[in-house]
Amino acid sequence: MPCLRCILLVSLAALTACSSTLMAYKDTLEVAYFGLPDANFTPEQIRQSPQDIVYATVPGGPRVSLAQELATSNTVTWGSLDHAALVFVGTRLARTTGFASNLLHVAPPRMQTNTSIDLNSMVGQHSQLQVLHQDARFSDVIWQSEVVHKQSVAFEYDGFAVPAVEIEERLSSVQLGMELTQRYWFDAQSGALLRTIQQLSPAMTEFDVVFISALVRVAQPPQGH
Amino acid sequence: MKSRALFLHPQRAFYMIGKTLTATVRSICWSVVVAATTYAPLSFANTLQTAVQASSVTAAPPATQPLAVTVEYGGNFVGFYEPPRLSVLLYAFHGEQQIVWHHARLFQLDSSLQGEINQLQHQVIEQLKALTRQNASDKQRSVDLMELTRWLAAGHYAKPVPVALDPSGAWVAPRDNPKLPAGKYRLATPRYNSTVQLVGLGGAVYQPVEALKPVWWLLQQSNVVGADAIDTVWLVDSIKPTAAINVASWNRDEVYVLAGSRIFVPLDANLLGEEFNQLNNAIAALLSYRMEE
Repeated sequence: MPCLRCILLVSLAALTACSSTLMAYKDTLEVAYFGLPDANFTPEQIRQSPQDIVYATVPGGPRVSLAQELATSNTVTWGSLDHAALVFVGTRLARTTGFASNLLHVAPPRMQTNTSIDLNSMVGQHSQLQVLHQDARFSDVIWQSEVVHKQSVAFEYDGFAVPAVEIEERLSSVQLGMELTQRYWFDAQSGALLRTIQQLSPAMTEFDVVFISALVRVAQPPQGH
Repeated sequence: MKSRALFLHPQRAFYMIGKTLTATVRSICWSVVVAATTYAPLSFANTLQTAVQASSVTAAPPATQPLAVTVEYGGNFVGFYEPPRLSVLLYAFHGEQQIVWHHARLFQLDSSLQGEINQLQHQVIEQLKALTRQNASDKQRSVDLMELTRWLAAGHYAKPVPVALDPSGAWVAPRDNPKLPAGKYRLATPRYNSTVQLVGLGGAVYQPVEALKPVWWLLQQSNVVGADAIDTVWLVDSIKPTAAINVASWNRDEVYVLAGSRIFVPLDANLLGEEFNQLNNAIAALLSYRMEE
């Protein structure tokens, strides 16, 4: 009898171990207890990718990756497999889709064209932004933009290192009595945007986006690769 | 935030994205080339250039084949021999920074509903004219009613395609990327002007929005006729059900609306009487079909 029990248990364990359902349970439990792992590509994978890739992080969340889905003129859509997207116009996050509450539109008010931040932006540079967010309390907010800080830095990320210029932009709203800070890191040589942290409405979360494909192109490979 | 699962498995992601993009770019190429050879002038030169550069597929079907879908936008047309996915149509507008996609709508001009919509417009106009005649003794009231009638009569109305438009959203989310049924369409992209449209007696007025200011406050600030006597207004959207918002001092809701929203201020029940008691519903229904340019 003990022998029969043993055989049954072993058979059961063997069968269960092969079951894809068990793996699904295991994955679910892993996500529940440990969260999702950070997205992580090797430099080789990034170089060989047919699309450029960015890493995006929100406070408290794992690092996720998005691939370049659409690129026309200076507008680029970065999409994920779960149907969320970040749309950049130049270096500015201009729209999001697929989230519970989305950034709908960012544009300069009339009669004003230059609101972009780039390598050539200077401290004290002023502009205005009109931001439309899906949270209707902040339906139409005018932000005063000012570049408040610019410095050369050694930009390091995932073992990559590259000389860069860090720019800090302050957005202030008289309507809301509020300030938000946007940060940018540009490659000092090419001016390519390497990383940016942006939050354009109090109703949206802060997005930390690393343009890892651009970084891999301009940086020295990390040690060990 | 929705997307804990943004994580891509590298190999699977590359394979899927690559496969999808190849197929879609081919489709875009084909459609845009066809459109470019069929309609002139076209404002999609950049798209054509991009599409042609991106793929070697340039052969167009015979010119005798009828177009399945035509879309009018700002006086220009684009055509497709096969009903396209929404993402293919909107691809041409991805770089357009003036369009506020949240307010953009696609209307089908030749839907089976068009007869009913035209009839609804006719019925509303006739009832408003009759109401104006009834109130001929009150000069100001008559003028306000005539203004509303004129504004409604001047509009263009059609069946909206019930999906939010966004070139990026359509591209990444299959749910927002339906295949368009064959037909004639108009892409309406109202210019963003930081106001809400308030429609009621006197026609339409535009009230600037302000952050953290609810609907009742906007109504108080506006010069809508009879706003102080209104208990409830209706938020009308082409692709969402009409929603009632209480705005009187005794029942007000702290509801906020986006700039570009359309609010119908219903006509007073005493004015309508028994004879016209369905007129407010009819006007709201008509407004949901209105194409804003």
